[in-house]
Amino acid sequence: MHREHTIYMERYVYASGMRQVNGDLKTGFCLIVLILDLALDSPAVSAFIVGTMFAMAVGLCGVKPKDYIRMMGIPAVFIIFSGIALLFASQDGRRAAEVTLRALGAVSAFYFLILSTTVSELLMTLQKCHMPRLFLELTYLIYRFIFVLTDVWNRIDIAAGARLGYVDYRTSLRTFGAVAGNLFVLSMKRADACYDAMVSRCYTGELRFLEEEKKCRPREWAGILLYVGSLILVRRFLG
Amino acid sequence: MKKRERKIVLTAAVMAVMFGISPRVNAMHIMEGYLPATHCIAWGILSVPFLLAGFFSIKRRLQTDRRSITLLAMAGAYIFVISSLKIPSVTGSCSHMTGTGLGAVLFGPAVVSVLGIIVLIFQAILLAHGGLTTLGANTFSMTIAGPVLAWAIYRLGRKFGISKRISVFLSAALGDLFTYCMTSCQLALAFPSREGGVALSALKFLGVFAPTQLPLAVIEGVLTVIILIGLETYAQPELSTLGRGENL
Repeated sequence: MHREHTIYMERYVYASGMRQVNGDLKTGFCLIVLILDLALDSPAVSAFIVGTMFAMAVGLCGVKPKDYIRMMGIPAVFIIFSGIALLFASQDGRRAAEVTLRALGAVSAFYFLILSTTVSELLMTLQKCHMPRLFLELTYLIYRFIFVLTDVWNRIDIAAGARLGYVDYRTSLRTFGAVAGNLFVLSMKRADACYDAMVSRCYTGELRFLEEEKKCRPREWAGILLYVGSLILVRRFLG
Repeated sequence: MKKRERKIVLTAAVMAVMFGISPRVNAMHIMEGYLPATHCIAWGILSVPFLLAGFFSIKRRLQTDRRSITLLAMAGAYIFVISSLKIPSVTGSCSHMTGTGLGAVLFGPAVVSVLGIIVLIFQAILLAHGGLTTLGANTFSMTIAGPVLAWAIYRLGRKFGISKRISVFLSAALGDLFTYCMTSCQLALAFPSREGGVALSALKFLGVFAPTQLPLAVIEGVLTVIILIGLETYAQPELSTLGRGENL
């Protein structure tokens, strides 16, 4: 299930209507909303964020409402499960409901980020924040390799299944271990080959990426100000 | 109780245990927006020294051997893929390995802390497990506390001459359990119980997660042992390039 899910989210980012907006701006906006959601800590603000982020994901990013709700379903299950745990632990129904709503608001803001901003845009922004190069390079390579390994795993998994590897519980445990071990060997081989490929393309210890230049437009700034302003107004008047 | 009745009760008990496993998904990740802002920052700051130690150890290693950059990146991707895979479970539900024990035994706790935070970022971005604001807290419990303990147990076990497989099992299972205790404490600190305070709240969080986490820790231990047996058979040279060949 997760395998499809990984590629699923990715596809939306690249087809998103927000693709042409400056990456730093998108990241900054989502971070501000996240921080305000936590800092203002009010159910009205969180509910407002949940609603508007849904509208923006549908309207601006072009996500189908049905898909969005399905995507929200995954974290929603965790949140509700944790909400129940919280209810048991703190025995404060109101607080549990508030925290659940706040978490939903934060997840919505975060979803807007991942539905509108590509990983390479995120890394560019981090680079401007002076994150160490080595860390960014590792992150980028890991991002790339996740897809390579997922693909390899998929094929081994089908092959193992076709040979009755998952016929009963005992066998599935053994198969899982064997496949995971094999995946490790293959990944190390790939890593070697990948390094050779990089060196033959003049890699001398620094990865460089092409950045598309996207200008921030005044109306985008205005939109952000309007949104943050309305969050504060909601806090003032609705509590 | 008649024999037939006993059978029914037994079946019901087994079913109850099994269903205990099913609702768990990644209950160990603290969700986005779950912690108050101060806690987010505090856990982040607490994680920084460990991350720096890991970062410098990776940097030193790359200075002598540039080739390990792709190796390390693959290791990170491997931890991600392993932890995002559904493990075989009885009810066909969705549970995952944490991979903390495996990572710690294979790559050492310092490296795992840095790779771990990257993996957590991608779990948040690609799978919506965890989040950005709770990254610090999750990093501390899942990529620092768990792996450090797992590694320590593995080394201790080896030192006292406990067999390799048993030490691996213990380190993976206990590392997993420790991560879950840590997460419960983090939640309890953020949401203390009204009358009993932090301690009571921690106990309750532990209790709520226990039915799902205890069997999973055992499964994680078993799987880690099976994976390492597979690695010993097929991947001795690769393990040696990681510098841990003789340890296994």
